[in-house]
Amino acid sequence: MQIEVSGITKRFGSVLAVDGLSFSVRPGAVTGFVGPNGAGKSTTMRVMLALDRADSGQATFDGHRYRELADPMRSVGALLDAEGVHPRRSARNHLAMFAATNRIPDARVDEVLGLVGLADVATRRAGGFSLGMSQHLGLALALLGDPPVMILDEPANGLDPEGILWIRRSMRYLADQGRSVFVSSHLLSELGQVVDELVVIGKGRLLASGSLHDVLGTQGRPLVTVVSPDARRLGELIARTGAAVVVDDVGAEGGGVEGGGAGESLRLDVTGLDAASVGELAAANGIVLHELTPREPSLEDAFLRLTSKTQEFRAGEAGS
Amino acid sequence: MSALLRGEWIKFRSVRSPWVMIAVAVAVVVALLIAGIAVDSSKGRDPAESLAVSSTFVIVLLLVLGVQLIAQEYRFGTIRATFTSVPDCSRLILAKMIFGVAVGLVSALIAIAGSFVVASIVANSYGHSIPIDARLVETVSGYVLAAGISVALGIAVGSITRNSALGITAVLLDMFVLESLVTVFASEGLGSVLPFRAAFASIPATSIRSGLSLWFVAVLVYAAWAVGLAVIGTVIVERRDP
Repeated sequence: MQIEVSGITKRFGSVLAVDGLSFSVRPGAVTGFVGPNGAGKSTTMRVMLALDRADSGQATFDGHRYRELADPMRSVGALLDAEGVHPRRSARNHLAMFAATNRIPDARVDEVLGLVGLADVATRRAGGFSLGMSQHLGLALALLGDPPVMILDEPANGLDPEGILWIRRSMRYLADQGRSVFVSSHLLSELGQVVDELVVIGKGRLLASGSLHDVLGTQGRPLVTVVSPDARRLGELIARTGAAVVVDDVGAEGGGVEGGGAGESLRLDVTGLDAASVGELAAANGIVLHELTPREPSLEDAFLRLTSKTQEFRAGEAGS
Repeated sequence: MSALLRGEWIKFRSVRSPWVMIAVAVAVVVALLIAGIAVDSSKGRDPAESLAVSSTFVIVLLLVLGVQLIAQEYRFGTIRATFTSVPDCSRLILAKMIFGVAVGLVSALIAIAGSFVVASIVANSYGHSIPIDARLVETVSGYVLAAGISVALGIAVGSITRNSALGITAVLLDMFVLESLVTVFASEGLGSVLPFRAAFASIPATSIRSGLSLWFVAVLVYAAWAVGLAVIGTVIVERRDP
């Protein structure tokens, strides 16, 4: 089932939360949805699920708006707020009441509780669940209708490493079954390991979308880490090629090198020149290298570059 | 609609608080009715009046139950999952109202039927029987219908306020302050069509008087308030983001 988001705009009073956002989510892929805090990710997901009313634009699932879907849990499974559970209601009853409204057989309730590992606590009150268990219950609710589309808002929240691995594998498994999996997460390293496609937003606007390879390839230039006792001279040589050089993470980028003195073994982070070129440049100038490591551009690198101008607030720089 | 009603039934039966409220309402009806019929009938007291004694307490309790049936969903955040499972707000609120009416009707019927059985046994032990006349039948009918409508009206109020405390306060203020003020300072005619005056006028033997002389007209007026507030609640729910 294809998801099409077309020109969604949502305003809360004077705050423009989502601004003409458009993107697609295709079946058989895990599509990551990333953006800084306050970028409009959750609002977009709520609009997609008809929980928030868009000022303009729409989201469709194979051409149908969410409200038009008969028994919507059979078409779209959603995990938005895992802690939205009556504390005195059992996990089983929590799922059973939603299953009933969408004509989902009771047997499926026990099936999904088993799938998420909550079968043993099915009759326990959900109020006693840990955040991780609540997250599992939320995922069970999303899976209840065996839907072709999954919309997951921060599904790894509160999960231990084993739970995060389980979520990652589950998303991959669901996508490999041909489902459309649309997931937001601030755990970019985790997301980077599982997503096929990315939608990056900032201040409610689309910053980039496409395959993970495309987004990283266009935004993350080659990265190389170099350690040399003659780092300053090497850094200056590299900078002359137009590549950006950072010394020990405190140097200036591009056009020059700061930090460290001649003869010290310092680390250089080079952006825009591949490892082979750096090695050849060092050899041609008789510079000794202690380390030369090509690095793949990470999702964090691409994310930070894409969103650096759109963050409404950010933590202070270390040491500032 | 049957699927939605089944969902509401599971919501209702799977937590304790609604059962406690129903149990208290039933216990009050049973206790007052048995006491009134079994003991006072020897002094010639009308059994319909004995039944009507509990009406104020029971109507308040069922209104509070109705408010809770929807406001608790907002309180615990289950409303988002509810709206993703049933995105059509009007169908959802209609299902809740129908379910609420059923809960009120069944609770009142069980309470009244049970207490009449017990009261008959007790009355027989005193050597007399419970007189069943048209006035008693009308009072029982009005009582049961008012009970059902009360839960539905509570749900309608809860859909507007989304908050238990606010909803319950609004109901109590209207019942015990606003309607009395309107009746005293505005007009008796206007006061008689206000919701709780109409609710009590639905029960012919109640001591609270209203300008609505026919009990079934009062039932219709009370039901109209519930439907009207539910329509307002649905419009508000549609416009506000949960």
